[in-house]
Amino acid sequence: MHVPVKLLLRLGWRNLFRHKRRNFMLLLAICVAVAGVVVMNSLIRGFQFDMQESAVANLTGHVKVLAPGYRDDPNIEKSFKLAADWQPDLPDVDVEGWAARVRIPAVIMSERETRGIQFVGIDPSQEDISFLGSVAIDGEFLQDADDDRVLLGKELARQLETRVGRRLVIITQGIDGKNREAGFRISGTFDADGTGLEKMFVFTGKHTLQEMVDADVVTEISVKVSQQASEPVAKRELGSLFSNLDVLDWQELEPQAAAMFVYADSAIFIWFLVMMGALIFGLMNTLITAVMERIREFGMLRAVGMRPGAVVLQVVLESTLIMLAGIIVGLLLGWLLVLWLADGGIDLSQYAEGVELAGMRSVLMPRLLPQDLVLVAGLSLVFGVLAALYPARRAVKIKPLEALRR
Amino acid sequence: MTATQTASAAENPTAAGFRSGRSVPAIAWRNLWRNRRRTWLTAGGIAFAVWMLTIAISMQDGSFEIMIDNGARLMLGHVQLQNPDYQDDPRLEFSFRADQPLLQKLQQTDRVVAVAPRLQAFALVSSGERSFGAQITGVDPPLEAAWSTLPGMVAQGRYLETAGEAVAGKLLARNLGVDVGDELVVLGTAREGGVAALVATLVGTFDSGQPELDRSVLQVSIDDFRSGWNIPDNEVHALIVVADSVAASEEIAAGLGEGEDWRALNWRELMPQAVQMVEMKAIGAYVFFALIAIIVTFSVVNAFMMTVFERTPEFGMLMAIGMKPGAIQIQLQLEAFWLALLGVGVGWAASALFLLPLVNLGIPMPADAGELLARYNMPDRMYPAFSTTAAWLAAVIMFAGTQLAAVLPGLRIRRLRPVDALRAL
Repeated sequence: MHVPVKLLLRLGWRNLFRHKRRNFMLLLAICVAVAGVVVMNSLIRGFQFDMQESAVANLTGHVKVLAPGYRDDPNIEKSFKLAADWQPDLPDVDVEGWAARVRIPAVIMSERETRGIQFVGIDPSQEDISFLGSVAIDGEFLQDADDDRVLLGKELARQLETRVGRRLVIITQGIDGKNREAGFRISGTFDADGTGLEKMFVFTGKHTLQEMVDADVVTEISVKVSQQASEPVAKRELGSLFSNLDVLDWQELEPQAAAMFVYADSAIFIWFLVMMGALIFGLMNTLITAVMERIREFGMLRAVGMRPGAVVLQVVLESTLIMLAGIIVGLLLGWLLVLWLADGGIDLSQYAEGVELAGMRSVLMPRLLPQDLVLVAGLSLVFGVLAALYPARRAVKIKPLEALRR
Repeated sequence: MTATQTASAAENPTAAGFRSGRSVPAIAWRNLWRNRRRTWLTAGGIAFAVWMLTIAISMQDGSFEIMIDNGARLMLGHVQLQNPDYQDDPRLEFSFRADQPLLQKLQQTDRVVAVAPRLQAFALVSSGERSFGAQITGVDPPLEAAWSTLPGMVAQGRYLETAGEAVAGKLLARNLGVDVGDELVVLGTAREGGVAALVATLVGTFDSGQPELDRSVLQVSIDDFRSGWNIPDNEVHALIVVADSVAASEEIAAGLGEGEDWRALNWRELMPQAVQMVEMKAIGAYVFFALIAIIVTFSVVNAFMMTVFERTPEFGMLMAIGMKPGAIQIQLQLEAFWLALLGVGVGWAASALFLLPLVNLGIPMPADAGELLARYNMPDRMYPAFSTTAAWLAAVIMFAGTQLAAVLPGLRIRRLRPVDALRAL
């Protein structure tokens, strides 16, 4: 059976211009739907990215090396030795940065208040991979791994009723299981997005903390890779370097963020389906009208020998053409909107605590992924064809004689 | 379809209506049915939008209400009476007198389910060589067991019963390396810088699913707390009020207002993060509303344009026999009204049919979301609440959208010249 696709395409294209205003309205509706989906998509992706970045920056890294049992019972006994000149020697991975830390629970006391915290010994030069690399500091950041002052969150300082330059007492458990108590001067306070991190972490020099607990050990190595895709490779290679330790990726360390990540993936689909659902009624309506207006035309075409298959194709092609035009303009419009939104991002700082609870950052940056655009375009076309099926069936049912007699 | 067409060819309802003196709204209604398929498709679009918006908002509201209620029933309560300074700066000395008349007044307030006292402070908890900082909460054990969901989350051992006992979060107990039956020493700072101390036996651990609580909370009896920290009788840091619903709690808090040395805080003040999250999600919902409304309005505009186009000769005839363009416009607006009514009616009916079984049975949540739900303190089944606000809002938007849609093609009628219009098509 020969179907003159080229002819049908030309016919379809011209038919669209028979009712310019009507088809223009339809085009607008498709554009709004497609652009709306693109913008929502980019916001959800931005949210996903933020969540992952926050999870990784939250002293987690993409991959982390821990002593067995540390996760269940985090204390200095669950630690390991690391050579002073150790470097992450991962041949197949581009490592963006890494940090070896001592991180143990401790109690912090000011003259007036007492709080429970995570006491973290760091080498400040390694910490550009964590949130410490980007927070605002009031006072001074720690100088080096030998710095014997502490850096704490602004909120914690407020709760302890203390400030930069004052002294604090920190109690933690040493390697022998006995409590150690030491005084520290505050070098500075950091201001993170929400108050969660500010209340949880207190930092000092790594060597200072090692001296305090009386052990030349670390409790974790955190590695950040520059390409997300190389994360599994990094995990595998670290696994073979530290065969007697636990090597975990961020999804295992932050299961809630990972679950939210999966959830956002399905949210994208739901959005798309709803928008297309709202659109499909208008699309079908216009297509059916276009068919009914042309009963005589279709009757004649059938009478001169056009096959039913060609009639169906004709209607489907018309639907596809207008959908295609709408998709192209809609994608462009959506892209421009995303560019506009991305200029500065969407400021959510007035919701800082809620943002933190949702694992986001205070400025939401929309993100466009090429594969999402392809998916939107492809699925929209499928919807265009689906919407054309009923009108096409109606067109096929037209009887040549009856139609011509009108 | 042939039947409708023949009918309309024989006598168009507008002309017939005017002759027989039928009311204009009735004519508009009949006009809708001249093209059944188009009317149903357009109304279907409106119904879909109403349905979608109503169920989406209902589900969201349902999950928020559950989140807030569960949060309140775990430890915080729906309403708390506190010293006015305590919320911003939870210091030991910011307490207030909870005397008998006040307690009685609270208990007799309408829709109050439970009232419970609280004393709390940060302190160092030790067992053997290990020490951890924790939030020590003094509770009245039998009262607490009657309303809080925490006793139901005991993972090991049992909940508090009398003085001398303590329950700890699972993670705190693990960090301390203690088991049920072990002795805990609590050391803190009392008023005026003195030392507060108490000894209690761990009788149970709880697993709330919220790591922050599981890592930091130690509950003891309020009498132990009072003697350990040397706090006068009747002084408390908070009086917790549990209401029969979140909605009722807001009225209760507003009704209580302030006392001499206390202030009533509602859940919005007690859980500011939850409020912000609700607000943030609400913005997303509005964007969603707006986009759907625009798309559906466009398709209604389109349907009207097609209708007006097809009926150009008819309008020409009506104008030729003396009908004013304004009257035709009113006719179109009435048609839009009936169309919206049809769409909204179907949309509401569909929402009700969809939501009613779910309101009663609940929707099981996917297993991999379990951890997430636990974090937000939500159950594994979601019970949506039929949101009448959303249903009304969707209806208003759709009525406004269709009215607007009828105005646009109507503008064309004003420019029509009867003679040309009669010849059109």
